[in-house]
Amino acid sequence: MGQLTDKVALGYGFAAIIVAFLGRLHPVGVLLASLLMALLFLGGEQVQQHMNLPKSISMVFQGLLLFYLLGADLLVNYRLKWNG
Amino acid sequence: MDSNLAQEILSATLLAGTPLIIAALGLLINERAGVLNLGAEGMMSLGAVYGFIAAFSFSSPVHGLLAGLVVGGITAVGFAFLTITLQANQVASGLALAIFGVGLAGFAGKPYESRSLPAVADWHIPFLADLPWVGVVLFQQQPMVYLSWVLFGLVWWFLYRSRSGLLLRAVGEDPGAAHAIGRSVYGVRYLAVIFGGALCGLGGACLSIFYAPMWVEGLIAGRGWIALALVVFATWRPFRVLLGAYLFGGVLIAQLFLQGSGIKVTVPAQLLSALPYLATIVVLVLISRDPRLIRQHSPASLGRPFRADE
Amino acid sequence: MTLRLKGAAVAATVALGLGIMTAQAEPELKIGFVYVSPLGEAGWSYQHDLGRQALEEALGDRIQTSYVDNVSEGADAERVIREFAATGHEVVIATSFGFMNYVERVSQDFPDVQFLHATGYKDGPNFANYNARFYEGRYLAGVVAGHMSETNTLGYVAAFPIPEVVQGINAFTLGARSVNPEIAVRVIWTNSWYDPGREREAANTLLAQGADVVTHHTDSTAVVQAAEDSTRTAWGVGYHSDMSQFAPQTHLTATTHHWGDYYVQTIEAILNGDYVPTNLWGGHAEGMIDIAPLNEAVPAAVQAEIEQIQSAMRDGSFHPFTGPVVNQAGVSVIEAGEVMSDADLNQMNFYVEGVASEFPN
Repeated sequence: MGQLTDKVALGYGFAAIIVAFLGRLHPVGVLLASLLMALLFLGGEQVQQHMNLPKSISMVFQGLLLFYLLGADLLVNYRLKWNG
Repeated sequence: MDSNLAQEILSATLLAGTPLIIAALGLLINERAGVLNLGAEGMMSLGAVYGFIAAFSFSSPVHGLLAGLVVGGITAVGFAFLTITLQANQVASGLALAIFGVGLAGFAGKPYESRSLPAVADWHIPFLADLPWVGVVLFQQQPMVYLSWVLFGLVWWFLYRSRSGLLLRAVGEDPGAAHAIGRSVYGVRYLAVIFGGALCGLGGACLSIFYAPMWVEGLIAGRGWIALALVVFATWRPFRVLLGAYLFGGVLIAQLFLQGSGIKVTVPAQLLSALPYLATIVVLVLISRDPRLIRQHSPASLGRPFRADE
Repeated sequence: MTLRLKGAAVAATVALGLGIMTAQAEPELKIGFVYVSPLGEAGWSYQHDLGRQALEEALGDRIQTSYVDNVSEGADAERVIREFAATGHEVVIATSFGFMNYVERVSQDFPDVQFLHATGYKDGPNFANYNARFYEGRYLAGVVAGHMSETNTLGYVAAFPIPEVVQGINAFTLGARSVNPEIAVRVIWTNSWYDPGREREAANTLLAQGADVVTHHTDSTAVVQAAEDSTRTAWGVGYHSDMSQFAPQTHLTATTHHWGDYYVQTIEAILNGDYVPTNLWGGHAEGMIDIAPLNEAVPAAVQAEIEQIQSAMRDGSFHPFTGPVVNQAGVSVIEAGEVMSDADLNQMNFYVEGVASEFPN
């Protein structure tokens, strides 16, 4: 980055934790998850730039996407069985 | 030191610590049941913005506090569903909630940015307020300070003197055992999470209605994370939460007074700003340095989802 | 599988959005603004956005502006700036000191795009620097505060000890002491451009310690609102924007930023094809600085005095940093009759006599 400001890694620590869990603590998973998080953040910026939406809205979308992603984990791990 | 100045500092300390105490007490109950909710920053933000909107629209701080309580609780229901029923990872879910909450609060608050509410007058407790010196500091305070003390009392009593509190702690330590004797672990955890979220929302509302009193995006400025850290450093004990919050607030206020007094201080301002965090960590770690105490007090099942059929 | 599907879905949505955007009619010039803080209703970024709106009003269909707010000074900033440059924006305006190195880098990769950077000290062939002489407004604010204070103590809530902030503190002090030599100014650092809770705490601390006028170099309205809500006699002086709507009784005045004229002139020059990147540090003379209307409680004589000083600033006959000026240790830093040079102003690392706090190292 070429400059040591007082906000070098703001927010990346938090993102890293999410990435670790999304990737189920497996190296390949973490790689894929980090790409996804990067996409979420970049997508958020694109939305801000091209649709003149405030950053707070992109944060809402990021949070929602993560919720659904995390919730979907259950469906991945278990199979729904309807009790007659 | 001038007696008046000391009173000012102590008074301001109580005020600064109160939103933290309220949120941290909620998180304490949350974590004692074994659920880690890292979304405190988001819940406090939502409580702050909707609390402010309600207080502003109804011209009543009480409506604002109730709104903060309700919004925090509702948000927590979502979180509980995700982490308890759907058994999603608690850490990641909490972080997602923090992002979501702060963002939604910023967006929802845009029409209300920088509006202000009329300041609320101090409450004078009869008789006690007339005590020399102590009376001014402790008993002529903002209502939210008394609220935080009442909540502290309730939480302490609940945890250590009530059967339900015992059940809560049991669920936090060993959910399998609690389940085996027929108790609903899910139910207890749901209630704990909702309570935790409601108090976080209340803490946020106190910030925007009494302390600031205004709403701008980013008002919470990391206080949710501080509340989370407080619970850990207080080894999940209510009184230490109180202590830690006042210590943090106290050092914060003291360093502001130091700067403003014109006394020559050779410590750089950035270090002074870090002092509250350092002091709180150091003191709390020192009083809990017995590793057995920490193991004893950290809820054993914290962060681990419970599956009823295992 | 789930992860990749989600990723693809997000990418598709963004692409669709972009497609919709580019399908519209092309204006002559596309301009991108990068703001460091949320827009809000007042403050640094808000004033820049007022400038952007002035631009749209003046040049209408010939231009299209867009902005991104709340961009923190880090890797995100470089991405946003680069994104604007790469998507057909002919002008990118970056409004914070911390964007400087990123603007430099991106400007080298996009030599056909014009970059404007607010505050800072670097420039390049397609990269101009602009700034405003905030200290002119601060001096005037100091004069008003000096007249209105009865405890002879003024409070200043500041973010970081960079030269621009220090210029403001010193100019405020000089202005106040020019009408009341007994004035002392106390400074509290919040270490954040934007933390309303912290700013309010600092303001209240200063008021509790005897200040009866408070001002700030931070981005929210917390300080003037603290003065309004205080049970003590307290006045507030705003910054960036006129903050009287947030503190109707006690808002004395504010140092206000005006970027509209600069933006319109610069963009017009670019449209006409005769633009040459030039650095500009403008004050009253260039219409970039002004002060907000004075509170009714301020006596008419003070109003007249202010107007006099302002017109002297406008025609260049008065500079707030004119000697003799002495620093806190009593050492002369500007000789009698001399004016401090721009280079020295940008290196300012001392307090003038009258600031009662220790200079941070």
